[in-house]
Amino acid sequence: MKKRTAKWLTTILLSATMILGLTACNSKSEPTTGETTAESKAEYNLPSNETEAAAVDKANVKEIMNIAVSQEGANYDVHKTTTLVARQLFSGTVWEKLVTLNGNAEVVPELCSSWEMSEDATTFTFNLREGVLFHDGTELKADDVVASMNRWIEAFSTAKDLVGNGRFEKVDDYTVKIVCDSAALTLVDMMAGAAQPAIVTTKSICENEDENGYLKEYIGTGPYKFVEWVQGQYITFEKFDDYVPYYLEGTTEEIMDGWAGYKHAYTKQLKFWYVPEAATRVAGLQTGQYDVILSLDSENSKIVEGSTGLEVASEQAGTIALVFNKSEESIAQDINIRHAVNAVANSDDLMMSAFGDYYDLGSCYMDESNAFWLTDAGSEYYNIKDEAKAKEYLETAGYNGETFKILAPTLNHYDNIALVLKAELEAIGMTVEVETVDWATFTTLREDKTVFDLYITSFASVPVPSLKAYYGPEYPGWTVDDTMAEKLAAFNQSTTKEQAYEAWVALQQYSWEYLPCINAGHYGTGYGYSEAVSGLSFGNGVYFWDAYIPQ
Amino acid sequence: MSEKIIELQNLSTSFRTERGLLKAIDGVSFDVHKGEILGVVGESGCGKSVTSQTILRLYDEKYTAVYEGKVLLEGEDILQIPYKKMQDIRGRRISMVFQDALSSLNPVFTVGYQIREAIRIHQKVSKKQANKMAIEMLSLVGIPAPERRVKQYPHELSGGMRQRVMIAISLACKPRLLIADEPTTALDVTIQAQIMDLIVQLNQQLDMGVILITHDLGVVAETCSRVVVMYLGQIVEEANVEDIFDNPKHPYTLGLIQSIPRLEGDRNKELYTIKGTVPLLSQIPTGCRFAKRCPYAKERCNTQMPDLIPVSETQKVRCFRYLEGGGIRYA
Amino acid sequence: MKKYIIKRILAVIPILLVVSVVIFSLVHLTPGDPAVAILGSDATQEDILALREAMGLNDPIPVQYVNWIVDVFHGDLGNSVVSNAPVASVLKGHFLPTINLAAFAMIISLFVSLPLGMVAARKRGKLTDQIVSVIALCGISVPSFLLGLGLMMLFSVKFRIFPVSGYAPWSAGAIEHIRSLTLPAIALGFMYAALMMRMTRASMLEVLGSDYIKMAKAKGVKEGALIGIHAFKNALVSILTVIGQSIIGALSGAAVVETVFGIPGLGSLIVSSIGRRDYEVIQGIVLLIAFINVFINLITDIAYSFVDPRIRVQ
Repeated sequence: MKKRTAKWLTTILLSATMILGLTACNSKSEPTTGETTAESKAEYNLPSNETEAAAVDKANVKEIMNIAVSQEGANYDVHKTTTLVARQLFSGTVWEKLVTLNGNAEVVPELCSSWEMSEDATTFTFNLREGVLFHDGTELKADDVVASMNRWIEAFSTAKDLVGNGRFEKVDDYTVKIVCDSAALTLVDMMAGAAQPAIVTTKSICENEDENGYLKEYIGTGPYKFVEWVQGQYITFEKFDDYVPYYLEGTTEEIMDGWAGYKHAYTKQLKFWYVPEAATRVAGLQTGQYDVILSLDSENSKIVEGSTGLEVASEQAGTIALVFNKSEESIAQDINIRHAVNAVANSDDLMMSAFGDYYDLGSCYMDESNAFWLTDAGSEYYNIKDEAKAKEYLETAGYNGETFKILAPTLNHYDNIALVLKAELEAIGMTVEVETVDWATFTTLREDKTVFDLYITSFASVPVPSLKAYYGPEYPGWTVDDTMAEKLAAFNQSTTKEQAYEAWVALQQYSWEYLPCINAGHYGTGYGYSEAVSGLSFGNGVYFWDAYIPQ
Repeated sequence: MSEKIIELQNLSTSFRTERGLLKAIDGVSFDVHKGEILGVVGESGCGKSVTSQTILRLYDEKYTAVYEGKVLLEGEDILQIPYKKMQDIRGRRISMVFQDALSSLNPVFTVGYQIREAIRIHQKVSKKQANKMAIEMLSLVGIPAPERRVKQYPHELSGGMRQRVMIAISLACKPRLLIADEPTTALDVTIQAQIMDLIVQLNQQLDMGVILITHDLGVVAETCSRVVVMYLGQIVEEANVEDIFDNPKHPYTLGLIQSIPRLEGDRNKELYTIKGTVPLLSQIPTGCRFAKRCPYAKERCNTQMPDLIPVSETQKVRCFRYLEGGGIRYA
Repeated sequence: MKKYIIKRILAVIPILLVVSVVIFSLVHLTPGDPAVAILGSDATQEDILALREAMGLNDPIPVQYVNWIVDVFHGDLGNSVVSNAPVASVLKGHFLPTINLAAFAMIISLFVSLPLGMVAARKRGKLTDQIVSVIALCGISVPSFLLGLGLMMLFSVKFRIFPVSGYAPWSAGAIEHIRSLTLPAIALGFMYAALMMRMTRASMLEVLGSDYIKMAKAKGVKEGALIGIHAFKNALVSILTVIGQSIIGALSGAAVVETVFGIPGLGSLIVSSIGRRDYEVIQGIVLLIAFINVFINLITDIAYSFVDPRIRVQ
């Protein structure tokens, strides 16, 4: 009797706590599985950036804006690190580049006033803007640009491969140039938009590296200067009073287009708080402790949308790739095995298992944000969901129950994708093993040719197709194929954009035939913000150079 | 006759158990006078200790025990007074010495602390003064170098010393009545004698009443003036100490006396034992409680309960055989 | 006593050595390395390989160990592989919030658990006891993560009493400091409170049935002193063991709570360091935790002898 009372009380209290907890994580919402339409399309909502700056009353703007981010970089030396948070916080805000991307992902000048490319696409000359000041008060000169750009090339092997032995050199104090070994049409795209941004700092800062070769100080030319990084807590930026803004080419209006244009820095201080727990970020946004939060997944964005006074913005952020092991150690070396997997893979199920609503389908390897490169070449192979065909491929391959090993990191629920794929492969009679490990373990394991037949990873949006790593023979998965190399070379040696586009279409078509990997679909990300916040710049991230909160 | 310190009238104590109320003592009546030592004897489980703890109301009255009858302390029924008031009686007017000093002294406090505490609960004295009194008490109970001992912990003392400490604690407030519950059981024989001598000596010195609970009739013979024999929660015989030994009226009393080893007896003869064992409280017989083990038991004994009947000025017995004129004799 | 303490501290050295070998092997034999963490997920394979070589991660593990342990004996814990900051200063920075959090959590749980445990023992089997048992059961079975989020929803989001997340050091003012730590301390302390409550109740029950409590009662000791002094001091030995273990747990195991509330303590440091395979920092933390463990145990042992004179340290 007594025991029963105790149990009863326990049940009530426990369930009360659960309910409390669940409302904390909030309504895990309606189950989304089941309905799989042929071409699902995430409903992203990316507010267009406000272009008129007229009405901002600078005297009545809140001095501090608090932003919660989910990641902390190991360092913020963006020449060397590809960590997303590093470029989202620092690019365009603290650091600026010679060239950057506008809203149409076109390359436009930033620290240069103009640039010229030679007809053979080997020589690039940049004319620097005069009077631009670094945060340490010195003026931007050719020596700084040469030191910074060559440091970037050394750190970024893709760029290094592209330019060969060519390096930036000083022509005069306000002119630099680089002569590449062969055509390097996409060099400026890389400089403008690569995951390792080609930012410009001073010559002395470049030379002042720590033991591991990282920058000791973060000195740029942007509208905000770096003040403090308290590890595990926050990063503070402060408005740089001597910032020299620039106008978009051909205008004299104080407007922005994409990452380019006139930045106002209305808010005196930007504080980026490191808040790893998603529910905590949402709670902080609801209480007003944070004005903007990053890395909203589709579930949490519904919570934010449902809260009064809060808004959500969302956009495509990259692609999910199922990369095959094409070495002789793997059964996936057989192209028929690869096609069998591709034929049965249901992209909707795969993407939904990890991203909820924040995904859309599409056979193109490039993301929407880089509209120029979009093509539907090879789409006849995409998301065909044909079990009979898959079995045919298996038969052709002579598949006989060999174990197919899937390797997946636990990061961002990629392990869910692996489990869904396993079920799909088992449906066509394959024997499948799934290994899920943490991200750091994953990056080492995938270098071992005997460990996997397929692994799951993602690629953040890149400005040019050649940055897709899986075409390389060194990248885990090991694409060693003459035709592929030929088509990649044809792309890299293009001297005009039109030519490059043609080459890219052919490359993507061949990719779908050869299948170095399966492009499962595009995933999205969300940003939550208080409706009091104005002037946020969205597009390949959210940026704060014009953001303000009226008082 | 000198004044009565305590008088038990028809005292019963029942315990709440899962099988209902169990009566551990049933209709116990006796009294103790000033300066007197009353022996309460019986086998384990006869209710001696329950009686003594009932007098101090040590059982939890809300959940565990139910008392009936009266305990008159100098005329006042202490079963009726508010429970909180018992705290003033315990240790000040009635004290108790337990059988195992090692487990009854708190191991984590010094001897001095435990005596001082007993003093300061009941008397408004300073710590310093209490310490002085504690030292006096220790020398009173015959502990050498008491100044040093007050700073020691129980485990640092010998068994006899600990028992003396406990007596010192009990007597710290010069109580009217001392209940000594088998005070010597845990000690070896020479120490036993010393402790008993001490109790007798202090009894005279302080002029208090003593209830000596024991199963050792030898001790009773040497120290007590009157004896109450208990069996299974009831008094079966009460008499002056001489009458108990010379003229026992109850077969159980006789059995107990015969169980004492004697120096002058035949050494080869097996020692007398009372046959059978004490029944459980839950299996109390309806008739005479001793009937099952009694060599003289008759039909009536199994069905009817005899009353405790005075047979002389000083002696009472609960037995049909005696009342019907039958005698009992040594086996 | 002094001799004993010195002996015990010296005895720590071999323990720490063994711990260091084990942790070093574990950390270095686990797949994954800091190069990827530093370069980010989109880095090219060539860059990763080059950095690995440059960082000396390709040296044989025994060589790396000897290099490291020699430095440790010279008082140099090395530099973070990832951020290049001295490990000692990284630890120092993260240790303070953890100590404050753990201390706060312990204070809360002691104030809750000891009285409740004592009351439960006194009212054994009654409603009060059952309520306390249920609270204790919840404390043990509700994950601190869930409790933390629940508290946050209630007291931060709904009532706006405490901040959602973030740590305010003492220098930001006592009130801010306490406000920033209150919810995490409750979330962290609840489990330990439950453990202590159970232990207090169990050992009080054992003690309350003992002869010396009966004796004290017969002396006329009042109810309060009986439980609060006589029984409690005896029960304290077993309670101290749990307190010691709880302090160790709170100091080294606050990772989840620290992550939820954004407290930059040891727990969140170890989580992020493992994610980045920041070898030197992981090793430093583990050594520190091993040391804390031994130290707290030593303090507990000494405390025993103050509580119970029968226990002598030697």
